[in-house]
Amino acid sequence: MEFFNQLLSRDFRPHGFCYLWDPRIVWLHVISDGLITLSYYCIPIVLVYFIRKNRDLPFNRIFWMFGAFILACGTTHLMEIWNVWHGSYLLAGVIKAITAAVSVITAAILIPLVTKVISLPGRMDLQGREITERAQAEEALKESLNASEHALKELADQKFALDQHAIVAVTDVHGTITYVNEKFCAISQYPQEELIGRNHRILNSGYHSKDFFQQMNHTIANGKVWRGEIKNRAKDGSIYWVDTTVVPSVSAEGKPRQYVAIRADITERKRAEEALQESLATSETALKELADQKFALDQHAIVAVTDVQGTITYVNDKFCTISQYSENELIGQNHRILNSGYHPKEFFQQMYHTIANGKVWYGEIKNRAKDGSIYWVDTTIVPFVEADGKPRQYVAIRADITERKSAGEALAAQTMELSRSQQALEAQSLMLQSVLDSMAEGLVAADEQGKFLIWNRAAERIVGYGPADLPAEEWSEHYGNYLPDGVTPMPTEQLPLVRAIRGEASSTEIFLRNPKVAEGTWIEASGSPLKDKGGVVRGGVVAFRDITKRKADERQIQELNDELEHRVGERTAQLEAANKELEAFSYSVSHDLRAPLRHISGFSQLLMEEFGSTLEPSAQQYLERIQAGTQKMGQLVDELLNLARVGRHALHLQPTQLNAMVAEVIAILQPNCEGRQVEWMIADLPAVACDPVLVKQIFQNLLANALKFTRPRARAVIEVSHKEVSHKEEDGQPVFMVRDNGVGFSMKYVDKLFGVFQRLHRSEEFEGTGIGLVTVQRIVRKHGGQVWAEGELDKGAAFYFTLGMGKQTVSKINAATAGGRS
Amino acid sequence: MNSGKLDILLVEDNQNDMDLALHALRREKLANNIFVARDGEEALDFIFCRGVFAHRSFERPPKLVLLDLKLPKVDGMEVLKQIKSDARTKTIPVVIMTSSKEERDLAAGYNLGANSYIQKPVDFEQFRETVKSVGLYWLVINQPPVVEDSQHLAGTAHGSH
Repeated sequence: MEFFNQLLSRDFRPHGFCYLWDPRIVWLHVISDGLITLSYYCIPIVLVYFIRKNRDLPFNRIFWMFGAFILACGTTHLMEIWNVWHGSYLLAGVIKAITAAVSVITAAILIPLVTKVISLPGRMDLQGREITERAQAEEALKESLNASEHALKELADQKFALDQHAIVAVTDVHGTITYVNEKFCAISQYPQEELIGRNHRILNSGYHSKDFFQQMNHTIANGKVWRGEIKNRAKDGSIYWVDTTVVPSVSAEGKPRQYVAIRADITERKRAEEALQESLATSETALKELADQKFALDQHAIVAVTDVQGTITYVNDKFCTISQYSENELIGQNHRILNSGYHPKEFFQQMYHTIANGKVWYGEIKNRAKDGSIYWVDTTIVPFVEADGKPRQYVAIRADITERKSAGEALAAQTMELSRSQQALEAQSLMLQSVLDSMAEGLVAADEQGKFLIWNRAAERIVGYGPADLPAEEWSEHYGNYLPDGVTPMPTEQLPLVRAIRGEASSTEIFLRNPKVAEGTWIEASGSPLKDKGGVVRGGVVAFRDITKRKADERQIQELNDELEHRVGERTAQLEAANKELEAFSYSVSHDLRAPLRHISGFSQLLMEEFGSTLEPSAQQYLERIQAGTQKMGQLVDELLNLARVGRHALHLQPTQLNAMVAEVIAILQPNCEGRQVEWMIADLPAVACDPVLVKQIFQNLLANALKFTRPRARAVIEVSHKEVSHKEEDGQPVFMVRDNGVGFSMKYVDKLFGVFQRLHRSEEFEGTGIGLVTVQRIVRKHGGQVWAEGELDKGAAFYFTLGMGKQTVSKINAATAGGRS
Repeated sequence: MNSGKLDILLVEDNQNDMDLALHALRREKLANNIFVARDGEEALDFIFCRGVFAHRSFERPPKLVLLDLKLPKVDGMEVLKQIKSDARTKTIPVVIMTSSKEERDLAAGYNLGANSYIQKPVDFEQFRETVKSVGLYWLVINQPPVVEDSQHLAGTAHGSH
């Protein structure tokens, strides 16, 4: 306390006394000392600032020393001002002593430091400097040691500057940290005391390989500066990047003594770089993707780019292909070149309005190609918008939908057509329905699956049921369809509708038995397949009607027929029996009647021959009459038998030459002509188909009659001829005629001519039985012809007959015969 | 009637017809060697040498058979059929003489091998003419097959036993 009081003692005369209180001198000293003090105080502040900013500044202890030294100097000058008025010379002396101590220490530290500082290259050109240059610098530094204060000051400045912006650390040759600046502490987050004495590896982030550090150690161990970017780990584990320059301080013998590492924080840059790298990689992928997309787009889309005025600036190949314009023809053209005129103005106005507002437009556009052909494109227009929100250009991507469109147009037309025809169809179907319902016949149609399409009213009335949604197999049971035996259900495959669906037309009678119809109902059903235009069966239709009454009628008719047949059979049997009897009768007649005649004839003859001479003439005459009677009786019997035989005789038609036949008959009749003059006038007669055995009898009878009835004529003329008549009944038939000039007959009796046993003459005049013409008539009729007679008493008679055959028939028979013979 | 040479077998059931036929044949001197069978059975027994005619020999067949059709027991057609279907008798001429002129009888007769078919005329004069013609034709004009050789051969063969 004593000392302190002495320090501030005012026992001494203030220094102003020395200046004689001359204000000029006083103020000169005061102001100068004040300025110096101010300056000296400023310098350490600046230095401290410098060191703080440059933590990796080497030798920062000397900077502290400089600071203390300058501060002390400043304080001495401040004391100079104080002592002008106060005279605290002890205090001033103490301060001077401190200043001196500090100065001496600083100088003592500085001197060995100078060599080091000289080897330290300037921070800005550390990289390129050669060792020789460094030597030169050392030399220069040495030279400047003379002006040490200036040099120190510069050094101090440099260190300050270094500390201000660099991360500085010093390690010994083992890597043990001997110095770190504030920036080092700040970035590593370690306080200085945690770093000093620790190995630099404390900051290793593990990012770099061993080789990296080996290479670094190798470089600096060889006294070379190493530079690189190191990724370090801070105390809190966060990562930071430093751009590092390690400068070995080499001893006189050339071995590194320690290493000064100056670092700059490049974490931000690194991050930026990494981000850049990353974003570069991303953009590359994006770009590649974009290129791919463009390629893909070009491959299948029609792409065009236009500017805001609608001028085409880009088109792809597909655009050119569809529009038929070349790229050159399109670029620079307005898009209107493709306008087909199909869309209204409003359509495009709406489109431009949309894209001009930066919105995407979708739509289908009908365009016109270069050759005038029309094509449709599905279009998407994307405006590319500037930063100000205004479109810069438009990209239009289109797809060709011409086919779909034309298909669509066709479809629309078809749809219209369809709806029209549907209406027509509805009208038709309505009409059809009423037609169907007014039908008396039942009509049922089904598709190929057996689903009923039509079932008219009559069908329901006849069958008793409406359409049932049943499989075909159950139809017979449901509707009660039976085979005509009335008990066997109709097999499915025999049902007309089933057969129709199978493509077969059929007609069947079905017995119907179900609770809705009267017992014993019969229907007749006709089925036929329903075919489409191609002839493919699409179903079947069956029309049917109630035939119950018809069936009943039929049954009745059948019964009647059966009865009739039975009766006919009976009659036939009776007839046959009668015929047999008749035959037996005629047989008996020929045998049994003729035999007694023969006996009468024989024995009366013998009586005459053997005993005639002894008999009275009248008895002889009686015997002769017996003879004549038997002869007449024999003739009658023979002719009657013949007539019966004609009736039984079966016709055997064959072509016959009538002239030959007539000649034969005339030859047979020749004995009747003896002693008479007979003229035969035989015309050329045609060949006819007839039974020659019978027809011969016609001529025999007619010619015999002609001969007989011309007997009174001195000259008999008998004519046989034919003519062809053309009146209706005998059209084209030959009419044969036998005419004579005999006694003739009165036409009064013409009807009696053809009666059995009818005679127009007495038998004394003309013999005869009255059977001949009956036989003729029977033969003619058997041939299907007619016979008639014309006569005049005492003039003659004419007999006409036909044989019921046309000339054509005859020709045919001739041809057949001729063919047969050849 | 001797059992030697036989000319005619007359098959006739009716007495009147038989008498008239024999009268006609006699007049023409054709009735010397004649045998009358009164029904079909007798006719067959005679022809085939059996029954009462067993003594007869096939070696002496009649030269002519005059056959009526309407016969008792076995009718004329059956007689004809048996004669014509046996090799030993089929060469014997058979003339059908009947009242019937029925076609079916005619056809059947000829089909069975009858040599002629004659309807007996009602008129006796005509009947006589017919019988005369038939007898003359078959017994005098017609040449029968050579039977002597076969008879001779048969006899020789018999004798050798």
